[in-house]
Amino acid sequence: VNDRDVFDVLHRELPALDVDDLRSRRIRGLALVELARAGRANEGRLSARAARAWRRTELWWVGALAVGYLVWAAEATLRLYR
Amino acid sequence: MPPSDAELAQALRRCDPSAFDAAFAAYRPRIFGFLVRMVGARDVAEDLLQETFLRLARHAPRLAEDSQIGAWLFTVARNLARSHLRVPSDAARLEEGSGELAAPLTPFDEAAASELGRRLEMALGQLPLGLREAVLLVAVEGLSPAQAAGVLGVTPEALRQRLSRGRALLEDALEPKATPQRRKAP
Repeated sequence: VNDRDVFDVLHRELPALDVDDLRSRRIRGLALVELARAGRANEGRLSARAARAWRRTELWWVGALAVGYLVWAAEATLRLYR
Repeated sequence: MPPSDAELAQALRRCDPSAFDAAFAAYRPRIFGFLVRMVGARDVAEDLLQETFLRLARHAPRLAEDSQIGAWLFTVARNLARSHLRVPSDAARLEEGSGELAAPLTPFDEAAASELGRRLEMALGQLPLGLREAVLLVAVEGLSPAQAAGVLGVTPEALRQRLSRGRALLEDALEPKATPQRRKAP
């Protein structure tokens, strides 16, 4: 140890540790269930956010559509008399 | 070639199970080794490992696109270990350095571990917790100093000091002790 860097010795010589296979599979299984739940919750969150955004801007969209239609109708009417 | 942390983060944000499997395979032994050496008990480390990966699964859709999954996992594991060690008796014992094996070994591990490995575990177990976690992250797990400082929530300079003190204490602990000479009888 003396003539080698102690951190280098730690990195090379410490025994690798791991959980046993059964526990590993159990943790993975539980986590995949959580991952699927998080995915569903996230989709729910995204659609709820989209619904909120629509509610907030709905009046503006409908208003813009109505104004556009009125402009088009006025132009078409004026075109008849030119 | 294993996916990079950035690729893993992208896939985890989509809740892709294969990305979770890749992260679990790559980081399970490293996080477990870190936790065992932090808390000094395999059964506790197994519970904390489970909680670490459950948190990754729960948090996956909210990960930042450029998340470093390894650093993220070590941060969660370290915080869980610290929370666990707030139990007064354990905390007192480990803050001072227990002087016992940092990682109690199973008979299988015991057989596989070298004599040097056992001495290193013993020396690590004697380090105060703040120094031990810094040494574990940089020297054992190979995190860059910047990553390790981020995990520990300290400045790079503070980390450098911890590493330097940790190195000195480890060298002391591993130095062969001079046998006391017997005084000759007059």
